[in-house]
Amino acid sequence: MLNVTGLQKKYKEKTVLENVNFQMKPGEIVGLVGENGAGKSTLLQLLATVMQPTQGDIQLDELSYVTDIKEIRRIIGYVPQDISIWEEFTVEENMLFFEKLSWKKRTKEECRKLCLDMQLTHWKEGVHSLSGGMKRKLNLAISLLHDPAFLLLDEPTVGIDLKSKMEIGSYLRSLAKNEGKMIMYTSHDMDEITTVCDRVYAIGKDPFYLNLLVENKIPVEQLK
Amino acid sequence: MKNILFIRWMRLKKEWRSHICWMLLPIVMTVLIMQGVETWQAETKVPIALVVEEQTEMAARLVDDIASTELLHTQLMPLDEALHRLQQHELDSVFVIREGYEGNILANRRNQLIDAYSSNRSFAYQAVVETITSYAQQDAARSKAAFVIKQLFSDYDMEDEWSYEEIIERSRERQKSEALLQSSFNYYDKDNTTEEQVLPLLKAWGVWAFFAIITTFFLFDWMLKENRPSMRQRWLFTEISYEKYASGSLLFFTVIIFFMDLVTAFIFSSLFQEALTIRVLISLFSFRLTINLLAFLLASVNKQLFMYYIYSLGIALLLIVIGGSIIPLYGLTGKWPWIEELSPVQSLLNGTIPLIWLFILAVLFARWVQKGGKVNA
Repeated sequence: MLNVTGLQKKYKEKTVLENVNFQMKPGEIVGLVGENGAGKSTLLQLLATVMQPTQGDIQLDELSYVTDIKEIRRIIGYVPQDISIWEEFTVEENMLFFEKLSWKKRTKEECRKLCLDMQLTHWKEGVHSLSGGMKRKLNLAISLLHDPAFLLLDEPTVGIDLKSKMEIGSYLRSLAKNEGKMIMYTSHDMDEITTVCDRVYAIGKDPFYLNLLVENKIPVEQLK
Repeated sequence: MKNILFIRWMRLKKEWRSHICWMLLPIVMTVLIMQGVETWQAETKVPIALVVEEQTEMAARLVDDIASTELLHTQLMPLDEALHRLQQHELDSVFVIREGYEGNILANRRNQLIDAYSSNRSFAYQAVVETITSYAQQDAARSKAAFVIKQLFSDYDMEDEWSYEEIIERSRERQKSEALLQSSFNYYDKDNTTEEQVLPLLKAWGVWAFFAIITTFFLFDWMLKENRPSMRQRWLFTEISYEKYASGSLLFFTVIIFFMDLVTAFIFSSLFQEALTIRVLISLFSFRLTINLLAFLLASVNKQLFMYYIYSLGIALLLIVIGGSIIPLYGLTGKWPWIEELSPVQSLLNGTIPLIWLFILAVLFARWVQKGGKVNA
């Protein structure tokens, strides 16, 4: 369960986020849409503990973002907008490298299954020769290595083809619905985000606002 | 630690070629430069030819004296060949030790002992003539002194006391043991250190240190590559923090590079007759630790690879210059001994441990580790 209360973020004198309040339950996918510079990435980075808020309170499963930061990081999976993988490694080497760093130890087969679950089949292939979509999938797979309960994805499908987008979307839904993971997701693609998410917030600036835009009362699977 | 070593090994496997190059470069460059300088020094000696017409002990000694003169490259050859090569300007000058050299010296005749030939390009002729004349004068003076002593023995009826040869031999021994042209001073109650030391143009460890510092900085660029902004966020969500990984990697690199340093010490010992003692190895290890810590900390405060390389080159040059490995600092260190502490290179050359450097770097490293655990991204 995520509780965000009165969240504010300022860069020097400039207010980027103001009085943000919302909640998330396990198994829920929340989307964020908005123009560039509206504060989507900032909000995600605050929730990912990459940044600290100027004001406000965040609690994740009753853990405080101020005092329990190490414990929180263990249950967060953050997929940054930039692809953070080793270009000179193969898919296998990337997975094994980050598995060794991870809290959760997995066998090579488990790492491979994680990739196969999201249709990333080029296990032995060098990352430099992968398509953008495959790199995005690997970027996501690495963030899932420690089996996080709360997944934050910053534009995970930017610049990739429709098939890969649909595969990633479908995989995220299965993670939320089958494994009860909370997922927060940003995108510029309205169609994609309304298809994948249970709730979609619109975020904007001058003045700052965060409005509930879409709430799929009917399960997304039935909408399709 | 096992996991850190495993992933460090994974990274190393991808860059082993460049790493091997950087680790071998200091040895290769030092050997090339030292041998180049040696060749250059040999080629810059003044080439002269000696034509020895007389086969006596005194003539042979004169040849030895001339041949052992550091700035002369002396070759023995027949007169015809010597003059031909002089005409071709392959030789600066030609000297002929004429038949009757010893006889003339013994007879106290000092003229026409040696014939000399020069060409219009004999730039060092006057200096070489002075040198060779001084050797002949030495023989003549020694011989005359021996005769005077013999005369004194004769005057005091002690003719059987010493022979002419014994006096000459004793005179040579005295010359060697007392170094008559050298004066040395020493402070009261201090050890007398009059042993003459020939200072080499370049020191092998000094040249090596320059390349070792630069290549160490290049080897440590992984600090920036593996902690680039996009990757930095990954390290927040890992059990092994970046600080632990980087510290483990520092240890890993120190072990690997020090192994190469040991190989270097063995090579230098066999090629350049450098000492290979426990003291040298301890000094080498402390130098390695200092340079690795310096490269590590410099990389940790830089965000741009290009700027890191620029700073690295600047620091390497500075350490080498104030370390006295290229420009000797004997005069300065005599006046201000603290200058020796400014560069770990000086400690390496002196076979000591750069304690101040190590202490400061260890404190900064501890602070980095402590701070790294607290900072956010």
